[in-house]
Formats: sequence, structure tokens, C-alpha cells
Amino acid sequence: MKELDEATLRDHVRRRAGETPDRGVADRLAAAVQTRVGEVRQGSTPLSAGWAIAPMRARLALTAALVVAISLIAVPLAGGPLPSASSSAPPSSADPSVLQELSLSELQRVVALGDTQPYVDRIVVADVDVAPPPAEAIPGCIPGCPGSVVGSSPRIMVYTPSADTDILRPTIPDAGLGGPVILRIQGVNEVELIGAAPMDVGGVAWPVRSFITAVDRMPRTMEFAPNRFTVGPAFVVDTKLASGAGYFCTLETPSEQRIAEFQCGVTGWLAPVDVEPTTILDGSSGHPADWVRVQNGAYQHFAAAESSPDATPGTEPVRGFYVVIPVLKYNATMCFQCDAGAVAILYGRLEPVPIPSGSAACSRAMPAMISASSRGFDHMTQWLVGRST
Amino acid sequence: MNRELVEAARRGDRDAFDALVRQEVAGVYRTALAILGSAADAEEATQDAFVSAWRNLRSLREPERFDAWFGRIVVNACRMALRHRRSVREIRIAADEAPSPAERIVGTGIDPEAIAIGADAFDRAFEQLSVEDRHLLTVVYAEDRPLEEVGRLLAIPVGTVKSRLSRARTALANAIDRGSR
Repeated sequence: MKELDEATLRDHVRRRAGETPDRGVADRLAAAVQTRVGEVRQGSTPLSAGWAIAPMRARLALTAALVVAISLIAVPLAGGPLPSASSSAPPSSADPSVLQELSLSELQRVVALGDTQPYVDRIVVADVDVAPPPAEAIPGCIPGCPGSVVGSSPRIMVYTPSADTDILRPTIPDAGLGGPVILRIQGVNEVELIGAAPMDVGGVAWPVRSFITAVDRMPRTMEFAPNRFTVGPAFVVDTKLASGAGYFCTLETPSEQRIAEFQCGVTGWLAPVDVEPTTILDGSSGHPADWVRVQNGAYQHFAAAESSPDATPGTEPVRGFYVVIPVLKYNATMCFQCDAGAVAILYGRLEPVPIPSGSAACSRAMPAMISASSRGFDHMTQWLVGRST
Repeated sequence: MNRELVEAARRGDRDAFDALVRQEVAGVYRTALAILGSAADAEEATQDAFVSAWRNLRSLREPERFDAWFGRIVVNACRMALRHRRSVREIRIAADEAPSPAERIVGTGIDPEAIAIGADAFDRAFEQLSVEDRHLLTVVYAEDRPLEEVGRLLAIPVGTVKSRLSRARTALANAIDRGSR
């Protein structure tokens, strides 16, 4: 190990900070702050401020992604998803080979400790329904108002991601969202909605080949522009995550309008669990048709278990349950090695979370903040078109 | 930091707060950009930090410690920005908003050839550090503040600044080392 010398370290940190922003950027930022501050009372709580900043986020959303909602898509199954652990399975299951689906009471206990490790920022699947924001109670609060988990007490608030940080922007339909749902724990009794988990009879986790077939059968009828790619809803896929061998680039890619994470680089792959992928070999321009290309660096990012994030990933494929967003349309000339098979964005890794005892959770629980809302749910699939440049 | 402005803003004076924003925004943005490595995230974190400061300014009991207080808010805003993008940080669909490392080097007076380690390798290693370590390295190296001033800014003794700086540099070296294997 060799430490960087002072000069090199200084140069790199300065490079990251960039030059002093020009007057225009500073003025624009100051104006944006002033606008937002004008909508926030001094001394107000973050929750009420959340309503206030919603229009800004919505404006960013419009520039970052065009969300296209399509009503129910019946996803034909090929082989069907794997059976998953039922919500009635014993809690605290730490078996990583079984997908953990939290029941309402388990989710309630977990999110009561949602601002602490190992819960904060973890992605979970929960067999719960989500109610839309009570628009009648807070006029004008949509978008930006949280929904809530039906039947939760204290109420579990369900936020939708901001489009400027995530390409995934699910919304909660007026009729609500039926479970199971994929959620990210954000804080005490607060979760972020990643989406309704596509499933058929009794299962959430999809084998890779079934995932590919299901995605192949999804309609691709939307307008497509060279600088955009289209993604579908988030799936839970039971797969082996494998890495390409080192930096890998045998073909030139266009210098402009590239899908940055799918060009030359350390490739990432999802392979079926019944094969023994080692690595993609340097110099190869092909790959098995039942492998899914994911963004460069995905292995390096997700191979280490969330429960031991400091662990240095090795090179062996890592089996697990991953949250995967299929890319339905893209410009193949801008995505090296994407032409031969499925392409997807690896969004997160699911690992079992310990279920705290009821007393531990109760001691942290917060009072409900918003009254119950309506129910009655349809399965909706959110699609979006994101810029690729 | 202008104490009069802070005190006036603390009493709810919007004009004073706006003046504070204009005074500090460029520096906060650069700090956030160094920590986050993304222009879009840095803009968001900068805005969030100021909004949070406005909302909580009344709780600031010692206006003379505004810099340290606000520095923690900036770090928290960066941490929240990282949380939001954590699982998708490899996916930059709005790359046009974030200059590449090579682009960002323009205008800084730095000779790219003179940097021994590549920008990408450095950035990958840097982004494995905690937000606190990134912040410390930024205020020391990008803002060139003396350690005594850094201590005041972070509200910690100079000795602690030195030990934390040493640990941050070691962590960075380890991360670079892991990345080069």
C-alpha cells in the first residue's frame, strides 16, 4: 500500500471539486435556494418541508425522465417464478437461499428501527398493500406526498423516489398498489417505493431464463429515440452475479450519446443459477443467450454482502436475489455487447434482515401522522423513458 | 462568515439569509461536488443544505459557530444524496449534467499528465470513503485551509484533525490499492 503524496492528492481533490462555478451557476443555485426557502417556514419540520420542495423535484423529474404509465400488462410466464418463502414463514430467517418476504407485522417491527443499522437503506420485499396519499386531506400535495402501508399502525409512510437521483420512478396509483412490493427502508416508519414485484402464482423471485422470456414478451410500442432507453418495472431475480475479467474493450463505441455504463469497461452479468459461470473472457464478443448484461461495475458494487459492506469482493459469481430493472429498448450501437441478449440495470441486492422483537420495535415506534385512506387495488406497471446520454 | 448576517437570518430576516446564500453558495457547491462527484447531486445537496439551514437556523444558539454548524448540514445533505443514489450510482443517465473527470480538469491549472494515478481510479477509491472523510480531505486539500481553521470548522481539536486526516489518507490508499489488484 502506498499513500498518495500531498501534491497528487491535492490535484485530485481539486479536480473533483472543479473550478469555482461561474457566476451563472452560482446565481442559478442561489435563485433555486431562494425559491425553496420562500416555500418553507423557518422552524418548520422536514415533513412539511417535503411538500414545499415537491414542485422543484417535479420540475427536475420532467427534465430527467419522462414517465409513461401503462395499465396492467399481463406478463406471460415461462417456467414461472420460483416459489418464495411465505409471509407466514418463521421470522428472523437468515437463510440467504430463501427470499425473505416480510409480513405487515414484520415490516412494522423492522421499520420501527428504520434509522438504525442494519435496517436503514436496506431493500426488502413485503407482502403489504400501499394506499395513495390522502389528497383530500392535504390539498395540492401531489406529487410529493407519501402514501402509506395499508393497515400499518403506527402508519408507515411510503415515498416515491425523486427522479433526479433514480431512473426508477414508480408512482402509487389512485386505487393503491397491491403487494408484494419492493421497498427501501428510509427511516423510522418511512420507506421508499421501488415498485410492485411482478409475480404469478405464489412467487416473487424469477429464474434468469424466465425473466428473459417475460421481458421478451413485454410490448415495445413506445416511441424510441437514439438518446433514450426504455426500462420496465423492477423484478426480483434469483441469479448469479458475475464479472467480466478486467477492463474489456475490443470494439469501438460511438464517442457521443453512449449509454455510459454499458460501453467498454468491466462488464457485469447475471447468469442462471444452474450454470457455473467463471468470468467472461477478454477478447470475446459473445456471451450465452441466457445471460443478462448489467451495467459495468455491478459486480464490484453489489458482490459484497450488504451485511458486511466492507468485505472485498472476490471474483467468484455471487448467487443471490437481486432487484433488476429490464432495459426494453436501447440503441445497440451505443451499448457494446448488448446485442446478443437481454440487458438490464442491476438496482440492488436483497438479503434477509433480522426481525426485531415486538418490544424492541414498539419502544421506537412513532405516532401515526396521516389518517387511513381508501383501498382497493390494481396491479399497475410503471414504465419510463430515461435519457441515456 | 458574516456574524451580523447570521444573526439577522436567525431572527427570520429573509434578505439576510439570501445574502448569506449568495456569499456561501459557490463554496458549498464545490465542496458537495468534490464529495459526490456529480454536478446534479451536488446542486441538489447544496439546495437541500441551505433549505435545511433556513429551517433550523433558530436552533443555532451560537451564531459564531455557524460555519461548523452549517458544515455538518452540508455533510448530512451529501450523505442523503448518496443514500438516494447508492444502488444506482453506476448509472448516470444525465451524464451531460456532470462533466467527465477530464472535462473537469480544464481550468483548474492542473496538468493531467502530472497526476500519477488515473482520475477514474482515484474517484473509485475516493467514493469508497465515508462522507466525513471525503469532507475532511476536501476542506484540507481543495479549499487549502490550515489545520487550525479546519479544526474550528469541524469543531474538533487540531490533534483530532491530524489523526482523522491520517486515517482518511490511509483508507484512501487502501481503496486505491484494492482497486489496482
